Amino acid sequence: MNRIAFGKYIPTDSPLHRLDPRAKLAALVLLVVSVFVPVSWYCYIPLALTAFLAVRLSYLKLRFVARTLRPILFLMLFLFVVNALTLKRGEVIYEIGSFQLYSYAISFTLRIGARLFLMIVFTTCLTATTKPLDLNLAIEYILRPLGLLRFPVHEVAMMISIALRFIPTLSMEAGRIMNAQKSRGVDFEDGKLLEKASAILSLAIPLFTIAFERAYELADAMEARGYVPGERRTRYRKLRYCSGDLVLVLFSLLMLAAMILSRVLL
Amino acid sequence: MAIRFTKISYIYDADMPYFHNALKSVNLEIAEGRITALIGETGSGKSTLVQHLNALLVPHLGRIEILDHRIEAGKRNKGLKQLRRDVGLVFQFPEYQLFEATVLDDAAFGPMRFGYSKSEAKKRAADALISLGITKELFDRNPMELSGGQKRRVAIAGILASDPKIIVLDEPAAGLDPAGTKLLEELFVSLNRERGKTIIVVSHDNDMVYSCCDDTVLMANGSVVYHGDTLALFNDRTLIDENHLLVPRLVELKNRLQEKGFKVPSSVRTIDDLAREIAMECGS
Repeated sequence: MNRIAFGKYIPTDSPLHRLDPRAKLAALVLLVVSVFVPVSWYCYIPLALTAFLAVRLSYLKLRFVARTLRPILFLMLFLFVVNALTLKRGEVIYEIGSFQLYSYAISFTLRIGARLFLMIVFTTCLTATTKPLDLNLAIEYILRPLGLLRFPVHEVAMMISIALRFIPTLSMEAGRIMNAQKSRGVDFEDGKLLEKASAILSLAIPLFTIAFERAYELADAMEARGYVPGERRTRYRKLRYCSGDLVLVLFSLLMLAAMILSRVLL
Repeated sequence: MAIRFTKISYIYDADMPYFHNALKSVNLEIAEGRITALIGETGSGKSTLVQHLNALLVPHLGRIEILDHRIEAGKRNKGLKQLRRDVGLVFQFPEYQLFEATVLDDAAFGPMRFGYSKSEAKKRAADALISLGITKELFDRNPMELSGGQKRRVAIAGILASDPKIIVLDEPAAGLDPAGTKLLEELFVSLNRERGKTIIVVSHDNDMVYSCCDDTVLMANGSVVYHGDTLALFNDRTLIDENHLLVPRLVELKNRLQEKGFKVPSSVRTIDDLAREIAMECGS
């Protein structure tokens, strides 16, 4: 359960931690769009430098970032196989029997890999430096215009924040149940297919039971504190912009502009 | 020696800025056939230590020997299933592990995983359930329909059914009523006295520890502070004060009697024994 690094909040006091979640969210959107714009490979140099800077500024260890990236290696491998079989452009690089590997298959896979890589690094820098609840506030803030269309912005934001709040709780419970079942001889790692199925069942059923119990308890607790859906609520913590936020958003805007310009001009 | 820990260290979130050193070079030997209490404040490392007994956590440094199994830091340890069969671990709130459709099937789940045939597993499960006071009428019920105390007993029966040599209980009485607590105490004492099981029990209840545990291991900040005779620990004023232990009520009463001039031997463990001593003292 502690192995899942992606999306995990790391409580340190880095420069990125201190920025406003709304600015960080806006910057993430701008940067991720920038990642998908360029055509030539050297446009990725400034983006990679930005990613490196973001990692440094959020005081993340490179090992932690590497762990979040591990899943895309498999994706890349799969993508490479598909590309090698279907993409027949560029020069032939390698030949076995009737099969030919084209240069474009490699460069295309690499480009997608680079985009995914950058996207995940940027996202990790956001989620690792922003508390889930702050992030949720930012989402609520950005979605606010939808309220004019009678979209229940606040309720949806509350649902998201409750869901986020319960991820660590349920993952801890899952860890506990897995331990209890391992003690009873369940093998989660290897074992026959039928055994694996019963292993998953031995985790899923208790976890569902706990999730429902928690949901009832939470509903009672919220009611006891006077929560009424749809009612106007005030906030204990107010978000406030600082100069760093402006720098971050401007920088991200510039990056996007530069990438679009490079695409138009080159 | 049933269990031997040699310089065990365990660190949570080792590669994070907020890592936590939960066990600090712990050395510990637990003898076979005894009831050992594991006490200490929340966060002192008790639960971490207990999880090592089933290789649910593998130490970052050091070596553990349990019966004829070995777990070493930094190695891919094998034979974990055998280890888990020999050491039965009853977690806090074990009722959360129940998932089979009937009480009997759930209690038989463990033994079946450990290689008993279906009929043998059910026989063992039935025996364990009955020894815990779950009667035959309940065997075909869904465990979710039972009361909290019954659920816990079903879950414990599921561990006992595999007939482990060492039984570890992590706060077995948490959230139970006094009657349920008493039943559990009697159960693990009888498992020890009648069937020779080595028992380790994690507890916050010093009254219970005092009345039925031979030895006590006291932990603080990831280290073992005291390991030895339970009576000696709770009758030692300096040890109690140094570690801010809650004095068992019986010891409190004994001390007050002694202040008034009664002679009470320090081997008195239960209120019944104390009453007998007083009666003898008054009679003579």
